[in-house]
Amino acid sequence: MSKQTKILSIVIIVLIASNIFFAAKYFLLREEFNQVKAIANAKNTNEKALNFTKLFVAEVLKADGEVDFETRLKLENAVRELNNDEILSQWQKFIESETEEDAQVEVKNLLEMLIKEIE
Amino acid sequence: MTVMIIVAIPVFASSTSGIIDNNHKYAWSENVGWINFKTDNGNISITDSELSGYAWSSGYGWINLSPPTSGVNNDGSGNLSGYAWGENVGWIDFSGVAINSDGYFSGYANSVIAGQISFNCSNTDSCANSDFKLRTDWRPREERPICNNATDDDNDGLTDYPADPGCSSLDDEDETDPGSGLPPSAYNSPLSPPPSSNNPGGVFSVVINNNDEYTNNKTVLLKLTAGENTARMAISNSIKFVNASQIPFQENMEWEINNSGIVYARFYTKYGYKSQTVSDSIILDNIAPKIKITGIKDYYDSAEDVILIAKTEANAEVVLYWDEKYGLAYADGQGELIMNLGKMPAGDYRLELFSIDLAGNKGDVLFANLIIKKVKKTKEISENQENKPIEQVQQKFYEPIISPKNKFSEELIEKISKFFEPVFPKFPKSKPKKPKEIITIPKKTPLVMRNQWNLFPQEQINEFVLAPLPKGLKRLAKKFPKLQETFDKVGIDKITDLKKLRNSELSLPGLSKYSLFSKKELALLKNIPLSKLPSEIKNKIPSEMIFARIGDEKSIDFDIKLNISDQGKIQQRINAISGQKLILTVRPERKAKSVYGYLAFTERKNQKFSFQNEIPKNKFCNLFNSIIFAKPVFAENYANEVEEEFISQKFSYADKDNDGLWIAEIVAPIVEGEYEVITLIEYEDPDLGTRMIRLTTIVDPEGYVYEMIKDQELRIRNATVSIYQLNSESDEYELWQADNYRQKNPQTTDATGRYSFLVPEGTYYLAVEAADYSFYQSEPFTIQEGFGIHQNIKLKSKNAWLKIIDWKVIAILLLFVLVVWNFWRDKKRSFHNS
Repeated sequence: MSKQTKILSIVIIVLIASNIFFAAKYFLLREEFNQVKAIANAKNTNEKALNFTKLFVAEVLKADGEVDFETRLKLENAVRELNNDEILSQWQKFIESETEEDAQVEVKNLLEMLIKEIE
Repeated sequence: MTVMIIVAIPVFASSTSGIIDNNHKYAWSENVGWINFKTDNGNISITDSELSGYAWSSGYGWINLSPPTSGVNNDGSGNLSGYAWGENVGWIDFSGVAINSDGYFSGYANSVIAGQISFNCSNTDSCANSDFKLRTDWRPREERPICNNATDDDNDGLTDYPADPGCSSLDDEDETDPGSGLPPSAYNSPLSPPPSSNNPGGVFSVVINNNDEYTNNKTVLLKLTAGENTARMAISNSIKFVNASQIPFQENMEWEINNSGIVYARFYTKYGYKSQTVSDSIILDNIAPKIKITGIKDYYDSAEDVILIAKTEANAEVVLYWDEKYGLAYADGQGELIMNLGKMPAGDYRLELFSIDLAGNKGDVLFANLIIKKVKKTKEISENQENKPIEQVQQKFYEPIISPKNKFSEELIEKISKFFEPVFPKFPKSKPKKPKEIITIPKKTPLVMRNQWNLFPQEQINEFVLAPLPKGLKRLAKKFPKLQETFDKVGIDKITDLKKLRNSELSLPGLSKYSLFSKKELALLKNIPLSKLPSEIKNKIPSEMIFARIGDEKSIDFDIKLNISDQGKIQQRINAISGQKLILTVRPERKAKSVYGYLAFTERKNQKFSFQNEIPKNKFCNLFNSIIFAKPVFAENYANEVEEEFISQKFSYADKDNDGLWIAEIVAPIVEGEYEVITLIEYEDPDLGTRMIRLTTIVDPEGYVYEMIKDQELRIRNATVSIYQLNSESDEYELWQADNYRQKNPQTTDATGRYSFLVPEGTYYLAVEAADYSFYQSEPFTIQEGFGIHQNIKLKSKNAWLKIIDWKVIAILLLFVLVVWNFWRDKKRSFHNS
């Protein structure tokens, strides 16, 4: 085996080894990145839920008078942005309450769900 | 009181800057005659550094005291130098002239043409014949009051009144504070505010409208943050603080902004030292946004989505109203928006829409008519191609619904086009997707939002808010007067007040520190077993409460840590070490027939085995308490509530000497977890019946000694764990005398590596020795009575460095050696060949 061939072989071996190493590293980091991304998404949802809850408390629970249509629109948009069917369904139950007692039950259920979402 | 913040240095015509006296205004020259230094237009001025203005000679004209290339200088002490210039007299040298402490000029100025100019008749002792003098109200620095001498006499970096806070007036003779002087801190700039969640950097700040980006109102709310020694502040819309005044510091204030929307603030100490200038800005926009529909069909089919395009202000909200419902849409960064109103039944509709910009300005309402026709046959639709607006809208927004199969290719095209976009901006892109249907709400306000109902049941809230403290807690406070005092001081008399105790840990005294006992009695409690105490002391021991000790009746006495929940439930963290013997004592209220108990498992504790490199001071776990009473004062009537399946131990209390104290010995369970000690007192009096006392106990595992091998813990056998106590008299550490407490010191670990100590209050350190491992010694730590030491201790192998060599390192080294060997061989061969 000539000198050049030997050097070439060693270089190729080293390059293959480093390729394997970096490929492994890449996949590990990608996995880690996906996990972080999932956490970030969860946090984002959490923030949306928190914002909706704040809006709900400030504009509905602490309302001095009838809630105006602009606020209602904001609430409706905010609740749908959560992309949570359970919360949306509970929100609709609350909105459609026919009696004071029903409203009291539904508001508690809604708050409970929101708190769970924020946790 | 308001004070001007932008203060110009005042001109005081008598000291620092002077003029010529009307009665003494002439100098004399043999060649040119009288020279008048106080003419109507001469404006001669004398300062600490120079003379300026013009003198007048009737024969030779004006003499400029500050000509462009020279000028008459003053050294501040009244010694003049430099040259004045006259068109007809040439240069006049003032280096021989001085101003004395009374403001009189003396000496001569010299000029080739004018010759000697005398400023005072006393120069030639000729005042008797011709009384002329030149005088000013300027005074040399040395002759002026300390607070007006243009000198920083107290070296505080500040000069004279009003800059130096030590000066009360220009006549003040002391720049330092009269009397004892100002504290050194008086010369400090305002302190920065401490870091907080809103201000993590801990910097001076002014925040407009809670950091809103826009406002449509010139009146804004400022939030100001400054350090504790800030007394005043100045706010301005100008960076130069024009017309600004110092006002007392306040954290919030209303302010009128100008069109720039920038607000500047400075903060001052009470001594007048100022901070750097800080600012905040907000965009003032009070122009209502306009909206224009740019895409609408002449009519829509009832089977299709009604889509419109509009243009308004960037990022504005657009509120729509049609068919008894409201909808909301958002414009993009260019102000464009596409509104999908969804499918609508055939008919004529009137659409109203208006936009609200980011500053909250509402635009005028725009009206549009929508015509919805019934679905026509496909043929009819294809014939109706001349309806251009329809075409435009359809082409732009009516792409066919993407099937799942096509979805991947669509995404791929989008990714590729995005990748090539910087290089080929016109790279084909996928079609824009159909806009989402607008979320709508009915015009009629739902009942729940009409503010007619209480959304929370008022009665229940009132009951909760005004409910008194739980009975058990009241009884606990009654038995521990100090606890009652705490409740009184903190203002706890309703159940809702309990939130004040959230996150706080109450400490109740151990039996030997109980305040109802006298000092003598407490000494007895410490030294004599409970059973041998005099009857009068025994009778003072609180009834229906459990006292527990480790080892024997004379063992260590511990304080109790309690947390009280919002519901008034007492939560105790009573930690015992598995396998530890403990003695429980209870004094029934009246004569009891029998007292017995159960040890019931409630839940397994999720013990996280973690190691702390350093043992933190005062952070040792609570090992056990001498008085433990999770709910002892809540002794309740027993109604066969004990669930047999969870009972791990049954035990009996005994009152061998009939002294009213019932004592039981139990062993803490080996398995760590949460347990409940249930004590039942069966009274002779049938009215009292059987009373139950519950007690929650957390059983901790013992500490252990281990070594980390590849992220796994390996317990170390035969490690010698010793604890050393600081002898306060000799100030030296000594091996702790564990025999007095029925314990061993040092302890030798078994295969589990476990050890534990229960020590009285004092300062200690731990030492661990094991063959083939480095010696371990903890930092000294101080602990209170009743704390157990059971930390997990990590030892390092003496040959730890060898463990970093694994197969990867060996492979790399081998590869390296092979490469070097190969080069060496080649070199050797080429050497031989040559």
